[in-house]
Amino acid sequence: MTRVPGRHIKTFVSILIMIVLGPLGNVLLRKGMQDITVPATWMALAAHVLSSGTIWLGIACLTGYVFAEMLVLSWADYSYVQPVAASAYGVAAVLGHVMLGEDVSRLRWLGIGVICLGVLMVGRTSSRTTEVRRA
Amino acid sequence: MTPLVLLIAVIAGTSGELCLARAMRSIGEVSDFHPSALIHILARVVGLPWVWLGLTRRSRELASQ
Repeated sequence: MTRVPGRHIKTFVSILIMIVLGPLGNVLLRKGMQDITVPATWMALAAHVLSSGTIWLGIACLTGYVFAEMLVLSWADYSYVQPVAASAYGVAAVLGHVMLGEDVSRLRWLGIGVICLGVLMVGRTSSRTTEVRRA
Repeated sequence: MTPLVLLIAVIAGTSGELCLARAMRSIGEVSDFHPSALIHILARVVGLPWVWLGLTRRSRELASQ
């Protein structure tokens, strides 16, 4: 496999964006939905959701996440991107604890640590194993 | 109920990601990150059925969460 200059950096930056924006978007959506009291009708629920700045911010983060994912998948292996992006579970645990006040147990942290260990192992492999053409 | 919802989320999410990966592989490596170049690529991407299939499945995953 030929080494393309800059591919390593753009892969790192794209996956970093995914790792930050994915969990942040999910946490903001959860926080936004928690702030909404259960309305009587679907229309009232939709009105509450559409008027929530937190939910819109969550949607914006998840849109950015999908764009970063699509970009990185244009040059990196799917079997590389998804396992490496699993380090987002660590970010999700931190955000859940800090922003949502969740109690993350030691066992849960241990499980996340195992995931991060797997991410380190996958991260040591080549991000591309097949030929790729330029867009 | 929760294992079933989780199973749906996993299947929808994974198949959605695979569809996106297939679509982006057909586009080729994005190497120009200038806004005009990205808009040009976006215009090509929205014309691919695999992208819409992928995004639909990803939204199902989100809905099941």
